[in-house]
Amino acid sequence: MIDKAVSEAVKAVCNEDGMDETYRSALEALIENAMLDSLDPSDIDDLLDQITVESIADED
Amino acid sequence: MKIRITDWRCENLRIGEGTESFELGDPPARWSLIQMPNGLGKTSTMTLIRAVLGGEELSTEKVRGFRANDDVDTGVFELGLLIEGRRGGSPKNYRLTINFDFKNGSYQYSTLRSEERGGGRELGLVLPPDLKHILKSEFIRLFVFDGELARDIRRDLNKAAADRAIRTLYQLDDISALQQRVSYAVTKRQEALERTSGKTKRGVSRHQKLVDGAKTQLTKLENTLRKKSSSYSMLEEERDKVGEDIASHMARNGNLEKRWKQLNDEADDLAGDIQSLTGQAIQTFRNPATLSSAITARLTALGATLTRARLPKSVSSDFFGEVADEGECICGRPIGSAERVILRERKEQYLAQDQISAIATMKDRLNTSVATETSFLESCEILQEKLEARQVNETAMARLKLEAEERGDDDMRPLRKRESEIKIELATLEKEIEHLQTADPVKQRAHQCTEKTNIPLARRYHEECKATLNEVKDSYRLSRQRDILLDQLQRIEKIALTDLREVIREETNCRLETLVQMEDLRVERIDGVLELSSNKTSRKDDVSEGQSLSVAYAFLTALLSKAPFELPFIVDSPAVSLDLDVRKEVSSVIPELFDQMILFVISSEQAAFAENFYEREDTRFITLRQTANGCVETRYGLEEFRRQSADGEIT
Amino acid sequence: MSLRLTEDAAAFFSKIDSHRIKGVRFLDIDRFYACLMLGLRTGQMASEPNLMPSFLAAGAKYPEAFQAYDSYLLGLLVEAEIRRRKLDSNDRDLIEKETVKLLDPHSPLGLSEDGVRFMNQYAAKGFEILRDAMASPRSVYDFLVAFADLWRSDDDIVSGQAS
Repeated sequence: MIDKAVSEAVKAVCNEDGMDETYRSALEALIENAMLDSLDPSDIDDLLDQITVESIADED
Repeated sequence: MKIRITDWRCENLRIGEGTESFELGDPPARWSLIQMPNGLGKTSTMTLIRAVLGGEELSTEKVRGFRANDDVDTGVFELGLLIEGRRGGSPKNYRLTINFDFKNGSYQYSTLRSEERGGGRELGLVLPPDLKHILKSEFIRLFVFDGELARDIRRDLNKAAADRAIRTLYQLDDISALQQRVSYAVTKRQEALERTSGKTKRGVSRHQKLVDGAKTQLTKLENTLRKKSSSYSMLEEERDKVGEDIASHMARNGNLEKRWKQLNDEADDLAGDIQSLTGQAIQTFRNPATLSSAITARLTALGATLTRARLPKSVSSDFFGEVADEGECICGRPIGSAERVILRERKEQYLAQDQISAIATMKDRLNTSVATETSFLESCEILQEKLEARQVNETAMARLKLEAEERGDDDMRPLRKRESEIKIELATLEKEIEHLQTADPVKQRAHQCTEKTNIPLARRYHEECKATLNEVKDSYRLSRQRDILLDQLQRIEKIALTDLREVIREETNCRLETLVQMEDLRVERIDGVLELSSNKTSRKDDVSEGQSLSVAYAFLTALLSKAPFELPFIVDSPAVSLDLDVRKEVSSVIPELFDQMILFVISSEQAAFAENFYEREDTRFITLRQTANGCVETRYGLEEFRRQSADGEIT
Repeated sequence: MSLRLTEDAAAFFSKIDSHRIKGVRFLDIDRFYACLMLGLRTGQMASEPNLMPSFLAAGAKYPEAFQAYDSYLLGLLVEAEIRRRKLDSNDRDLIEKETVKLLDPHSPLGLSEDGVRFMNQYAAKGFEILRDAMASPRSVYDFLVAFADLWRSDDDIVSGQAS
């Protein structure tokens, strides 16, 4: 369903950002589901949670 | 997915005779040429096909514009589609309808689907969901192609229409929409975190400082408490020691010692009595019946009132409900529907069984509320006596100490002084300690405790700060995750668009090669607009009409051929503005570009264009002609089509 | 919503040093009850009291010390309402309706929402009377003795009527 051009773009961006294969396929699925109008808000949350950001030092 | 137009028909519209039907065959022919002289509703037909495909909104004025004549109040336009699903299977018929009400200028879309057996019409347009993206009016204009716009085609495409077409077809718009959804989802989650004052890095460090500050304050208060508590214990020890010293001083005087012991014993007894009497007083205080005889009187009076009023009523609503449910009354008479209604009405006037029980319990308790035990007032009277006795005892002890002092025991004076000092210090410390450590909200309020002065409040504040910090961290993390995802989506959209532009450009140029042979006209790049170049000039902005149309066709067919959907191509007067030699070339190439083409032509387009279809199989010819008496006839077949062109147009 | 003291009442009682009395605990509900009894006695309520959060947990019943007297409290509330609203105590339906309005057999305190709100408003009024009559108490026994004085005159009237 998702066009090759879009799929290739996802691959290129994920490569550049050093995202792993799990993330790439999740991102592609997110876009595909957006195009198919079959997106649940939790899909977005799940994908966001897969993005690691360096945490601010936990000093307590 | 493959979409074909099978037919359309109209009732009472400004098309042909007003009520016409156009059959393109079953399955529809690959090419349909409809010869329709100007003024017979070509433009209306195109407009209506576009409207019904896109579910467009129509103004009152526009609706009335379709009206065949003043004698009709309603009209219908119906478009038949044959749609093959993405996964193959047999194609399904759809009939999209607009019903017009010319009187008030309103209209209503509806759909009839072949698979909906007996389901009848469904309101609105009910098409396969995948089509929703493609059937936007902007995109529809690309395949229900307005020939009148042919002259403006390049100008039209200049308005970033090329990009828009690509974005619509490849659903890149959905990636933009997804970005908005991501932002919304993150905002929602951050809102759920309640305290989101700091979603930024600065916010996080600010909250970290608050946590540190709260922790420092808590530690400080705990240290203060430790110091004060140890001072308190030391003072208590000292007090006991001073007490012993005083006692031993007094012991040196036998008489004093005896009296001292007596008073001390009395004080102990009194303290015990006061304790137990207070307990007793509280017990009698808690029972309204022993608290005051006035209350007992009120309770009894209410009990009497209820008894007098024969409350609670012994019949409950449950009873009427049960009787109504039975076939016959308790007296044996049958209960019909009329009686049942009355019983149910009556039921509403009575209390439920549990309400009756509650009132009955209350009444029983009220009627037995006579106070037989000791009353509160009696307990308090004795308590007061004991309190007064303690006052007397304390006075006597003080006098005795004074007496001992006066007897010349010099050491007693500083001891007494120290004793009273310690008492004050202890009281002060006790108060300070309570301020520090009370967890009772009422006391905290009364002492105006804050997280700066009270340990439980400081601890809670510290916990709150920590919780907030965690939430702010979460919120900040979410913001950054969102930013990363949004950035990725934007880049994906951009890369995909660039890629697709290139694909379409190459494809367009491939087509141009065959379309425009005499000149090396090419699309140099697509950047929102189509930028052309030719072997004559590097930037070609003043191309001829024919060339312009060729570029447009090349672009459109390139675009549509790459679509995940196969769409029909409907065009009005495709050749009218082309030179005869260009026509010839165009008409030999164009037919192969689409799987279904519907061409509205006028007689002048026969030459060098329509005639190229005469030999093609799978072509349907439809001719509308106006007879001498002003009627319009619809004829199918090549013969009629050719004759019309030979006759020329009758207007 | 449950039973609640007014802010002023909470402050008024805060000086009571309850930990000194061993074996007997003077509870928050004792403070509330003292006020409530005075309010019910006058048959007047405070219309919009400033209330503290409830001292009872959400959905909690009366503390054990008061459980035996729940019917009395309901009865006294009904009786006070009959007086306050000047209802004809011989009107069977009216009294029944009033009682039903105030009770709810399924709620933790056996009181309807109206019933609980009225209790709080009566207690708020009762506190005004209490504060007028005594200084902020420093010990439970001082309070009890002073509180007893508030009822002595009533009792004299009742016993006078009885004799």
